[in-house]
Amino acid sequence: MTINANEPIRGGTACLNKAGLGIAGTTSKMRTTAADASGYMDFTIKGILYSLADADNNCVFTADSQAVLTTCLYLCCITSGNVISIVKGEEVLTADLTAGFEALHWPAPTADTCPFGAVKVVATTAVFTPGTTALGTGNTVTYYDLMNVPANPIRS
Amino acid sequence: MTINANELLRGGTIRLNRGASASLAEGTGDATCKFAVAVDFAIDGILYHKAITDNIAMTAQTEQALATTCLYLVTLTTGAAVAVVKGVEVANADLTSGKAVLRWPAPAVDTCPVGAIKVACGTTAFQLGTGGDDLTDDIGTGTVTYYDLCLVPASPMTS
Repeated sequence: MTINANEPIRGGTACLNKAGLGIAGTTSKMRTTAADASGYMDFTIKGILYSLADADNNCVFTADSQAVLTTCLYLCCITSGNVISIVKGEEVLTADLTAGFEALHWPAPTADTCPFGAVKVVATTAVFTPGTTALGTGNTVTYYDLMNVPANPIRS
Repeated sequence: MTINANELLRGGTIRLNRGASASLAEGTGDATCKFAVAVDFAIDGILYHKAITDNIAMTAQTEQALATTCLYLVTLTTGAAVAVVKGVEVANADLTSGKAVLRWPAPAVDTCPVGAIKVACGTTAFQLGTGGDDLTDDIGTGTVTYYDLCLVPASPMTS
């Protein structure tokens, strides 16, 4: 199906430039560094524009622990007041993901927030405790900068 | 009809910026293009960034006949590589008289259309891409027009 976006569009929630999500100075946290070097991430919630300045340690994990030998997606969301929260997805066994038995589904953002990034954590040799475990220690991480939540799950 | 975009959108492939001036332009080297402004774009909801780059090689396209006009769609992959899709050539006379229109080429799967080049050949044929002709210099009294795209336009060009 083709959607003709020339029809009037109202509202809309999306991140409008690459946030540059990555590990922060405190290694259990993440930060944003806009890839366009503007110093800001621009985003919209229900059609109203907002911006977030680059900052260290501005993405703080608060979620349940992730078991060793599992893979999980964490979705970074931001409110109109620039409060960032992280939504944990469903853990899957890394072996099942590799074998193609499972897929990683993107978590749903909380209401009235804009999803702007995600991190995939593969807990390789230790439990990953969000907010405590250093990113990249006992685990491998992949960062995603999002316009919105992708339509398809990750299969690797 | 009004589209309510407050419904939960998933995915999406779109270019999100243009900058203070035109981005897509002729490259410094022969038969190349460049992005004079960095490009922010999304493919299936994931954001990517193409830095300012000169002398971008383009895959050689089939030759465009003299006295025709053609649209070339410039797309970016998830790896920020340029891929060009050639449209259908239309005789300049048919375009001018309204007998034909220029239809936008369809982008390849998992690429983001970020720009287009309209080449109106004059007295010589033209081949876009590596080993081909130089934009501006080798179109024989014709014209080249660059477009920065957010999405592929819904309507064809009539001139």
